[in-house]
Amino acid sequence: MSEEEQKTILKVRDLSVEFQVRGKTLKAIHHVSLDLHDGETLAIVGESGSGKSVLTKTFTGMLEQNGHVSGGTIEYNGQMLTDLKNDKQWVKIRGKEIATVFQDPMTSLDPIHTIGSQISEVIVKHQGKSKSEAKKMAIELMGRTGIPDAAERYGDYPFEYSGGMRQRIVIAIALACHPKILICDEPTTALDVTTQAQILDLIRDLKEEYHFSIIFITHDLGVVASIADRIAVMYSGRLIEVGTVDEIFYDPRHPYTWSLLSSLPQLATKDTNLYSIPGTPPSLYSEIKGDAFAPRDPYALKVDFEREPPLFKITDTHYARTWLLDPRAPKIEKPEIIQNLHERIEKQMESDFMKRAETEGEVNAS
Amino acid sequence: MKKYLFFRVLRSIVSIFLVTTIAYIMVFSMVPRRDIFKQDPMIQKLANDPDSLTDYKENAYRKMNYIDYFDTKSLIAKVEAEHPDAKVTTAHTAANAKLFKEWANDNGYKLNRYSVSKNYYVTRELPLLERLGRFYGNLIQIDTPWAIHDKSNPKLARYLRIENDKTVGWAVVGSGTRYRYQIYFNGSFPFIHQNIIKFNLGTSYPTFAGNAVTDVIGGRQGQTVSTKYKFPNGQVMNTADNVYTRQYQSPSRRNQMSYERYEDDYTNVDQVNQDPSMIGTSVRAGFWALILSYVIGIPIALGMARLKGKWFDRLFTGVVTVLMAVPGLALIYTFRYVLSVAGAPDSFPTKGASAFSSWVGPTVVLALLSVSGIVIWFRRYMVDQQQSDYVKFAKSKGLTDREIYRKHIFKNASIPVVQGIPSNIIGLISGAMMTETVFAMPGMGKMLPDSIIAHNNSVVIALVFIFTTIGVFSVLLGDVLMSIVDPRIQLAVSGDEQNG
Repeated sequence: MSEEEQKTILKVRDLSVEFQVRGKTLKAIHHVSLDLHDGETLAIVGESGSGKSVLTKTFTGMLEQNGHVSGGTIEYNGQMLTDLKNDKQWVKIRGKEIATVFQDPMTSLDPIHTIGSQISEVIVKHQGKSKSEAKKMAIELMGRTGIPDAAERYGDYPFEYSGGMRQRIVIAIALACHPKILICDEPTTALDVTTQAQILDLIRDLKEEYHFSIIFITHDLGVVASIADRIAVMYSGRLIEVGTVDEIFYDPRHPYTWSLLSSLPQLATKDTNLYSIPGTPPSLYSEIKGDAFAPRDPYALKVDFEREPPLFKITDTHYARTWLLDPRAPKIEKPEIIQNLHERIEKQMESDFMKRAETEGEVNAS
Repeated sequence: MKKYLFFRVLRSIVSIFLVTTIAYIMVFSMVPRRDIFKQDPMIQKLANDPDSLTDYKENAYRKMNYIDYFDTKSLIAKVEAEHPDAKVTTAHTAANAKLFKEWANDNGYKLNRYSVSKNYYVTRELPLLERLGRFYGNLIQIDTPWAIHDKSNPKLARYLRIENDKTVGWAVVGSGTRYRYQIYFNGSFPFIHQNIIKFNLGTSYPTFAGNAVTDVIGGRQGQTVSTKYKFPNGQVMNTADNVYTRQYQSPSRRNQMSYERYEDDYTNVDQVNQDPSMIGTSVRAGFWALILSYVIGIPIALGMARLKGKWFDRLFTGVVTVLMAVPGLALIYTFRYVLSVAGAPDSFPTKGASAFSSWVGPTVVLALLSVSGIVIWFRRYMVDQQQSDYVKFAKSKGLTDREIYRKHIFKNASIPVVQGIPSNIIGLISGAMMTETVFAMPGMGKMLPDSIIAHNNSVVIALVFIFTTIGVFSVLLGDVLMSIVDPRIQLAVSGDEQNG
């Protein structure tokens, strides 16, 4: 990696987020520090409720009304986002610098405005173009995101588009102002597998073309492997492991990451059960003592229940928050199922690919 | 869309027909007919003259379409028409009686005798179906050059032509027609007027006795107003005559002065009155009340939705709850008091329909009564929209709250509101009963209960017909409006060509 690519565009330091829910305080994000480098794709993975979405919402000031940043800082390109007070200041960031693509393309667009007007609206707003210029740019963008006959479909309404097409439009809108960071909040979850792959390809292509950084939120590790440069694993509002894709997949250190990888559906064969993590995540209303994952962790040490582990450095890019990395800890090997993960997945994908090629061949033939 | 609208209008007409028919059958078969005389002062006056009383009652029944009735004179005329050679008189001879009996039997009439004079008269009960047939048969009257057949005027010209008339200017002028001016233009809304198609909803009785129901409901009220006209004979003068309504008057009943003035047989004119009709009064107050209620309600709802949970929202939630909980009548009196303190007259007739201030009270009260519903629902729709994904996405693409509300939330939330506007107008017009009573306003709102109490069957039917028609078509209008605002809604019958 060259020097330039390593430039950090977003610096999150010791960030905590709290929500007030019926008089009680819910701690959704717990002292998270994270860097996003220029031009990279960072995937944030974790189960539902782990704080992935909440974390990214703080980057655009879109926390729900009952939530607030209770500590830490977010720095974007030298600007302190945590200092922004009102929507007026945030408007300069949202869309223009940091854009978001949400999960459900079916409902992300205003049903009663034309597709075109929803794209050009942003261009007029952020780039101060005239309406006709904006229209031209919007049509170009639509074509770029893979809408055939873009000029004719400019005046269509969202209900006239399929889910995949709508997600393309949502992406077109998000990219309309050339943001530096694109937050993709599970953008493919609501789509079928074929469309999913197309959308991922599209995002990758557009990234090449427009040079932005991506924060990709997902719980689908298969998607992560195909798109991300680095992975951050979150659990109960804590960042528990961060590293490059290779490091996380082939040298995971945190027991939660192990469990997560073990439950990859690709690893289940016909004669074994799909692995699932026992137990449930802890309640975020009460103070968690020690490692949040400890109660569900078969490898938990005594200290895991007493003190929160620090972030141990494994390599320059790889950090994990587990006492297992302490020199005093016993040496524990990762579970067998995720050893040789590379080969297993490759084998699996190969057979998948063959199957898909066969079915696609059939579809094409018919 | 066209096909859908065609069938929708067709169905609307069928449902109007059904409702009116059912109302008609119920009113005319279930309400005892003698009740119509309960409040009629004529009954007392005629108590000493049984023959006249019988005549009066049978005539009333005839006007209300219960029976066919011929008094002695008409009966003799009928009989003579059938037996041109026979000499029929009122004398109580066997020959006369035989002829009367014969005629009555042949035509299905019942022969009766007045109690004092013992003269003969005939009545015939109209079967319900025939009554209905007459009602619908006469409902729409279309004027043609062949509409007038007058024996005393065999040389009446028959034509329709465009003329620059001396009195009314350019107009489609007819002769042989009921109305002289078929189509004409003037400065009052809607500027183009016609006399070709007229509705006939029967004759009002016992209240507004003898007037056409359409005139009772739709005719102007109050004092007459004079306007300066130039007449065909060149004379220029002020008159209260509504020259646009010139109708045919047979030469046998000619008024020589009018005839000279107009120089033709179309001398039967209505008067111009200064105040709007009952329906006009209600529509005027209802329309402005509607606008006022939305002008007040929408911004409040908008503010409440934007500041959901804040003091503004809470304050108006309280206000709206009070408005909804307190009985309407109490509110009307309260508002009337407040407005009268502010200087508006607390009774409509004090200054009359021509004074703007008379309208303030009823209109504002009507508006305030419907504000609470608008606020509650519009706030609800807005709050629903606020939580939708597209708003979240619009925010993330950098629109300000203001832009999101203006361009997205407001428009989406108004879809159900827009649909309800036409029906709301109906609600305001027909539901103005209490307000109109309190302000003594001469409108249509209290006419339905009034005419039910007075057993004015024709007016009851007419009002049912009018309210149903407006109601059915306002729902249709609401749907059309909604399909204009919401592109997802297309008015189409299943199987209709969908244009993508």
